Amino acid sequence: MAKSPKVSGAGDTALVKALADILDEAGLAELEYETADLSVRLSRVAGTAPVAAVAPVAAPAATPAAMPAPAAASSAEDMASHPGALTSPMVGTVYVAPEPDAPAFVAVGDTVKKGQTVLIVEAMKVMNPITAPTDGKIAQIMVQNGQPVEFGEVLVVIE
Amino acid sequence: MPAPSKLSLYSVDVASSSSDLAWRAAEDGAASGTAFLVGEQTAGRGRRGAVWSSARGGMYLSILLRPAIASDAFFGLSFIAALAIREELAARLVGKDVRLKWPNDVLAGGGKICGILLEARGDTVVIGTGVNIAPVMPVDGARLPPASVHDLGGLDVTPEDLAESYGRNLLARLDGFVQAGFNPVRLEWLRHCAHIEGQMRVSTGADVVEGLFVDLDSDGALVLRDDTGDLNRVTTGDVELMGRP
Repeated sequence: MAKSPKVSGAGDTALVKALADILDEAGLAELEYETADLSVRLSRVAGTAPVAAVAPVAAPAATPAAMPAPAAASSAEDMASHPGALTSPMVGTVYVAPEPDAPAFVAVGDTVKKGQTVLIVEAMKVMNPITAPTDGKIAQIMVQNGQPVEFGEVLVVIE
Repeated sequence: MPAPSKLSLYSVDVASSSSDLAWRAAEDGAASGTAFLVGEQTAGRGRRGAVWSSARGGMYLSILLRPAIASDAFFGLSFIAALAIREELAARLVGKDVRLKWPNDVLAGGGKICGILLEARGDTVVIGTGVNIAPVMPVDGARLPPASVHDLGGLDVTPEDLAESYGRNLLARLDGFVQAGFNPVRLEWLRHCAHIEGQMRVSTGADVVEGLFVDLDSDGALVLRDDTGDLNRVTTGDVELMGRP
């Protein structure tokens, strides 16, 4: 599958730095920023500094040909091959909490036990708790509450 | 192929919910077809934290199944449960139109008479079914008024009688589904659908989808046509019927 070229010029670096500061200050796990010609997505891998994937929305006039992609860009595509990626067993809607006003099952950085519920996927009024296959730590949560998910889509990453 | 499930129905006077009992039994290795009928639930549940009014006089039943199907076919159980309870209710409400709202609500007399919620864990599914037999008070926030079996003329219906007939009906349908797949279920569901050519609004959690009911898809999804002519598939949500345009 073709991916958007990843570029970062001097202006972009400053932008990413500013966004990373916001991510840090707000204690967020993930942040997306989009303008007419640029889309930036930052995610925090547990215990590390935020990493960024910067993709131009429109093809830029001069894309550097050999610019290396960020090492830990954390799009769902990149995460699909992660050994700790937990994927959706069905098409449906994801819930991060047992009930709308209840606290989330897990947060990034939480330690989970094998069999512990981390999310629910609902389809056709069948509730499917998604459980941790092993003991581990929640490295990333790739979905938001109420989001539609496809079969095989990465939901969380446990390390 | 494993033997068809046999209904083993247990009656319990008061419990938090019939599904809690079924999951406890599942953990203890109970056989497929084990079911719990509860006289009064102290914490009856609907979808996403909604309360299911569970005063004495209703049928609150949870059936534990270990069906011989892959988990990506569990959606079909939502529809066979609806067909089973619809058939049993229609047989007891003479002359009344008893219809289905996607995916598995049962409507009669202008209100909701039955709700079904399923939960799957591993190879086990618990189907929780609540039927208003005695009249019930409306629940805050519900989109439809409640209807009850007694209000609609089924005065001699008891929770025990209905639970046993429904349980047997459901298990027979499960065998059919395992052998023949979803399409016969889909066609029968469409015959009893309350919203053929109806306008619908579905709150899916993230957003609201509106459109004209077109079909029940082969994976149980609702297919709606919006006013630009685009088809949208819905797998989850709170469904509101807007009438026919």
